[in-house]
Amino acid sequence: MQYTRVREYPGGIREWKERLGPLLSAPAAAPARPSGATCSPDERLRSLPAALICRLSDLTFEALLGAWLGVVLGSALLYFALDLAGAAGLREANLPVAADLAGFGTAIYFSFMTATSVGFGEVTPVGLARVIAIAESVAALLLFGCLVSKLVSRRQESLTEEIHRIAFENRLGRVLMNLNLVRSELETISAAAAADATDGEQRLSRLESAATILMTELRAIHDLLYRPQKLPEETILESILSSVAVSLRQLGSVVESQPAVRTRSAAFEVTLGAIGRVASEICGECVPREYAPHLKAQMDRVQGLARGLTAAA
Amino acid sequence: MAADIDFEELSRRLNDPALLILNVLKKEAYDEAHIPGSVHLPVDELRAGIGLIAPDRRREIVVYCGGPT
Repeated sequence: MQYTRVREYPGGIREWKERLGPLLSAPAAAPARPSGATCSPDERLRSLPAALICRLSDLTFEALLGAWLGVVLGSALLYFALDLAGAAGLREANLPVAADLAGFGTAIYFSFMTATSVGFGEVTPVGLARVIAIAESVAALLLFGCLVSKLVSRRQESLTEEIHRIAFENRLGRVLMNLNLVRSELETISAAAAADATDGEQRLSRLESAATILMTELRAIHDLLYRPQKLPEETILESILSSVAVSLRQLGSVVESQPAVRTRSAAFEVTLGAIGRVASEICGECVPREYAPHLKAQMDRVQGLARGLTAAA
Repeated sequence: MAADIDFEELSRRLNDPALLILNVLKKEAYDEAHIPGSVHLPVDELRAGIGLIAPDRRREIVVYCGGPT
């Protein structure tokens, strides 16, 4: 593939973990799973009851309701089957329930009474029917519990979504604010250099700070484009990209007019390189998502400016 | 593929922006734990994706996966 400087880390993630290298997990910020799936992998591996509850909580509200009804109707059929077979089944007023349509109605009635744990007591189970009744009560109660908790968590999920949205917008706002700061700093530095007013050391340290801030925000933007968890509004993305382009152009002209800054500050040189590399990966066709043509053009402009920056090396 | 990189050098250069660290495992493995700063590019998308993630062919890249196979 003509990549000339590729190396392999043979130990892989296994050795890295063994030797306690630092690790990151995917950001838990965005709900990457579909809403309703709340079971984490380690919960599933615990004891059977825990795993069962976990699986149940993964079902949708409608599925749980369906399952509950299924248990009720299934049990009713079983009670009726017992009556049909003439075996010990349901009794009403101390007489076995008849195996006719009325009897079927009684079976359904009894099933609902058991599942909702009402149990008036005029219809009673005997023999095998008692076993079925036990199983039905437990299953129905379990499902009912899951159903109710799902109702509650729905509200929680929508609140969490709202919080994520607000946090995301705050972050975008911060990016824009910092980019504006970088722009005004670079303007001041350029003007001061032209007038040769303030002392060079102070200018250099301001330049270093501005470059560092630009790099931080560029990394955030790169992350935003390459690992999109939420889609930013087009207008906001446009402002960000144009701000980045202006900053890069200003930075380029500062470096061009005073090439000495690169030799005087190793930190600045490294930051400059990093800025160039991160920004050059922002182009219309590079990013995984398909954006509108005018946005892609702006991304290409950023890449072009970044390439110009590193080419001045 | 040229030489290998060892744990010492890789952990030393974790924050080196010149080094592109690629994780070629599946998404679930990457999400569960990955080396900070590493980019996820599953091995079956490697050919297609590498041009986008690292357009500069002289970029210094380190590739890692699960471990010795």
